[in-house]
Amino acid sequence: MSKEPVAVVGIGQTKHVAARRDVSIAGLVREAARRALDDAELTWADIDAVVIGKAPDFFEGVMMPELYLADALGAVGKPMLRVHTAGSVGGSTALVAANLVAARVHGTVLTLAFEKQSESNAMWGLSLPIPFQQPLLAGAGGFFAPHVRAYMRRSGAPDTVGSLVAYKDRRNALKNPYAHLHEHDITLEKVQAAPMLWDPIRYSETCPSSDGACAMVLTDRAGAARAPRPPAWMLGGAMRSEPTLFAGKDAVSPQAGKDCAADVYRQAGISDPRREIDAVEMYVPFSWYEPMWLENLGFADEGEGWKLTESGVTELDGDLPVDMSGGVLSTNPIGASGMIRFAEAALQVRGQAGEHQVERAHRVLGHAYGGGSQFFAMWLVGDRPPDS
Amino acid sequence: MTREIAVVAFAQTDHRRTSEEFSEVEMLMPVLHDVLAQTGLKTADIGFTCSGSSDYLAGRAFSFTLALDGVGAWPPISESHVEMDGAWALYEAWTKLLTGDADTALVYSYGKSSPGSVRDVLTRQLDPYYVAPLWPDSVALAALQAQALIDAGDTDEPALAAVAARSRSDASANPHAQLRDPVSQGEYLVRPLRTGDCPPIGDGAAAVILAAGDRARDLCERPAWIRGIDHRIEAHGLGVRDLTDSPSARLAAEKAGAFERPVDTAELHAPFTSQEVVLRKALRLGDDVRVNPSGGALAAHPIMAAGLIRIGEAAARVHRGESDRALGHATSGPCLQQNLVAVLEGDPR
Amino acid sequence: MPDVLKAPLVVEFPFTRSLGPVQSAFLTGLRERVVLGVRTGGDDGRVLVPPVEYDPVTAEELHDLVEVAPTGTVTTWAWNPAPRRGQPLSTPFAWVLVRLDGADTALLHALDAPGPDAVHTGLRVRVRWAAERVGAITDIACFEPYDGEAVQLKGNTGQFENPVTGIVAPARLDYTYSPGRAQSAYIHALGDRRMVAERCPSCRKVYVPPRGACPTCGVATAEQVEVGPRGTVTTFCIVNIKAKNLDIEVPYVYGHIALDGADLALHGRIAGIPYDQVRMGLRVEAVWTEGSRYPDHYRPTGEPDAEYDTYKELL
Repeated sequence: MSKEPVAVVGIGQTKHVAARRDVSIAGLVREAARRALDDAELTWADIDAVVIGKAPDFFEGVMMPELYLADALGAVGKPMLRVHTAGSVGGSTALVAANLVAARVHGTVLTLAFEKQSESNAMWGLSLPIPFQQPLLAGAGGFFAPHVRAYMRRSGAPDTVGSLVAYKDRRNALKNPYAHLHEHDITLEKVQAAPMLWDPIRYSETCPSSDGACAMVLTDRAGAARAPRPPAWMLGGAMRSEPTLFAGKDAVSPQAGKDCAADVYRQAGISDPRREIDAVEMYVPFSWYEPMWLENLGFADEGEGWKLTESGVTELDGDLPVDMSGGVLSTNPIGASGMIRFAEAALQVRGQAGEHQVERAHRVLGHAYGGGSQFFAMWLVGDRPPDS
Repeated sequence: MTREIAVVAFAQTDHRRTSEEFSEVEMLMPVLHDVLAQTGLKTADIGFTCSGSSDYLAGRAFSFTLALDGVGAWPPISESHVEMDGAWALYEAWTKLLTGDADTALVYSYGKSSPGSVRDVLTRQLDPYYVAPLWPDSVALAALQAQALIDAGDTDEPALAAVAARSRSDASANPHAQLRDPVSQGEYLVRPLRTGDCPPIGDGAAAVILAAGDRARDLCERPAWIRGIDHRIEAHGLGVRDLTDSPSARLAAEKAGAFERPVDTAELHAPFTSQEVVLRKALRLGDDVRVNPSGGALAAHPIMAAGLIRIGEAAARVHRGESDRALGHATSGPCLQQNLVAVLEGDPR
Repeated sequence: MPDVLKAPLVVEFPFTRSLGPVQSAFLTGLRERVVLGVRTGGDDGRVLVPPVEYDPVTAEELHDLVEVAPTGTVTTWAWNPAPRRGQPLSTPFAWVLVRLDGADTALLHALDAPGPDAVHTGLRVRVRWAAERVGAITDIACFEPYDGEAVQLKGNTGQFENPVTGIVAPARLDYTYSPGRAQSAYIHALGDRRMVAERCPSCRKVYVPPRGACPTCGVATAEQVEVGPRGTVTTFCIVNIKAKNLDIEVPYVYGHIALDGADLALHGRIAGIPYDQVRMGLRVEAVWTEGSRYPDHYRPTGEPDAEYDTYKELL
């Protein structure tokens, strides 16, 4: 039995900011959901099921918040699933929703991911005082910075590459009205003059802490035929996980990431991602992860990813634009960040990305990861249905 | 044509008041080994893995990442996690198998209620603006529902006591149950519910293997075919719901095809005696249906696993030839807010 | 087997919750001793109390606020003989769902009554206001039995001065944490300043700290192996920002250290060397201080640096 093709016909997100003080948690998710429905020109009654994702419940202090959010998302009387796969959750949530359509369980599904970080403090949620454990010796960046150093050692990349990524992503964000950071006076000099927080990671190369939500309406062929705007078609999607820490783990280029990408490319019939994929929205919480993921995802050979960044290939007008939306470096409502990558990929192939639209975006990859670089979720979307 | 998918193996811990000598992964791992051994499969043979658990129960963020150590996720596996009871992890795995992307799935869930005060922990599920600041605990909410049932003439205290007695008596044949002997109804915990009307607090884990089509027949002598599975949620506010009814359970059952033909067995996830009354009515279970032969959640209630265990127990009865058509049910949220129903059948004997 | 450790874990935070307009009006109203409901659209036009932001039936956004009475009728109840932390009353009370006069749905709260015999479904009750009100559901101290006259309403529609726009919701949960068998054994050995790893019976890899399972094989580790105290810095970062609750002067070096005999690196602070001279491959040893469970830091041993190829799999 072949799978039902899955189309994205509605996309909505909130304007991401440090603190949305004018809405409740329900109000935040509702805003994104409403915009996705409006984009698809559908009503709550048209939705068969809701799949919601977010990162740890401790971040908002609400256990299984989907129970309280059922009313706001029009889920009463419908199936509602709640996904949690750490930082990759926004991507995983979209894939779980897509499976409901692909399996022909439902025709039209609303999927949504959010984080309202201003309700608490993410570092509190991540560093609960677990007895007997060695206290964390550094903040979030301290967890990633040693891996960045390992990448620099392995690839021989010049130490300016990280700042190039940050400079590019923050400029891209200026073209995205929903992005959190809008640094209008950004210059490369300013990025490079920022203090080193966790050397080799500068303050300017870290992600912000945001309140935000992102939603998509996924549907089957019949639903896509009724859509008022061009749909994005899912050409491949996969999740891969590996353990948090283990002997032989490659934290710079995790095997789970490679396997996940390979599965997506196989489904989509991609043999040369660098040539056949037009743009990428990848999960880059610290600037150096752009060259690292370019290698992990097969866009560059091992040790060569930084050359794509350095030569401008990943710029908005480059040959392989990366993080056209401004990326996680400009917007980070943790649980939603993965779905924003997936949604931005879909916006590009639909030609709906506005000022940060790239030309000839026929096939775009959305990428999310989380945990100790162990959970991966990706999808490839295109402007034409699969097998057409 | 829809793919045929079955539960082919089920395993669970011996549920206990506390498992403090084990970490979560140490508690979970033997169950994973058990369920794999039943089928002869290894982790690397499994097409998709999905789990259910709760950070709030564990008291730490990302608790499920440590449990993954017990799976042996290397080489990397296709895997997902729901912050829900494992029954919903099973649902996600079922959809994955339906797409044809995988032929087998490992589903597991676990929960330790012993480290925290579970009555208080569950208050954090409630509307964070109007209700959670009052800290109404899970027994109190169930008691409000029980009183509504009594007021409506749907039950009375002796009838609730009979549910409690039957459950614990049936559990005497279940080596995994935490309460395996009749217990006295005891004092009111929150009136009208007595201690006997409430589930034991304890720790446990469970795992299930799903397989599609001929793969299921290879792995299990009598697969428990999932004829239908569906879940539905209700409004969150208790004051807008009719607590004596469960329209979400009824709708899920209808969508799962439960009403097309009678079932002979039902494993209901009713942590409180009064909730069995609600579910029997909503699911139209007559007196001839064997309800909770395992003892149900009143005999063992490892939160996050108890719903998956209901499906597992229902499937195991099909495997053993003790049932031909069984219903497995799971619930989540205050006063049965969200409900899942699976209908399982064995091949004709 | 040594005793398994356990210790209290307190998870506590004052969550700051912003409010939507309906919630803001309702909670501000409570501060002003006014109870508001919200009217649903359509022909039935039901009044929901407490007022929710979205219609539970149609999912439509709601905003039509109407005042209801502070008096009402109990629709169901439950007697709570042993109040718990954070609940509205500290003496035995009844939980009640109350349909306020003018409302179509019920509100959950506490009822102060002398005993269960004084409570029944259908009981008439009224709000007892808290003496100090801040704009929170706890501005209703509780309900109390009331058989008096109906209260005259002023037709308030939710317009107030200085509306509350947020609440602070402190939440504390108490857990007893146990790290389980493998980690307990590891922590016990640390007390003797020994680092005891565990070896996987299947792949033979040595894990420190041991977590009870070999994560790649999914089997229990049991064979204990002492590792360290010397090791190699495999990678690191220089921390220039003071972490909360950490009394360490910046800058300092946070490193991954592959202890001799272990098959993966653990994390620790590198000291006893200027921070800008720490390098990958540096050989270090654990330094313990009085009263600390874990090594305070790792310092150079003076050995020649390890070759990259010897530790490149252990980053």
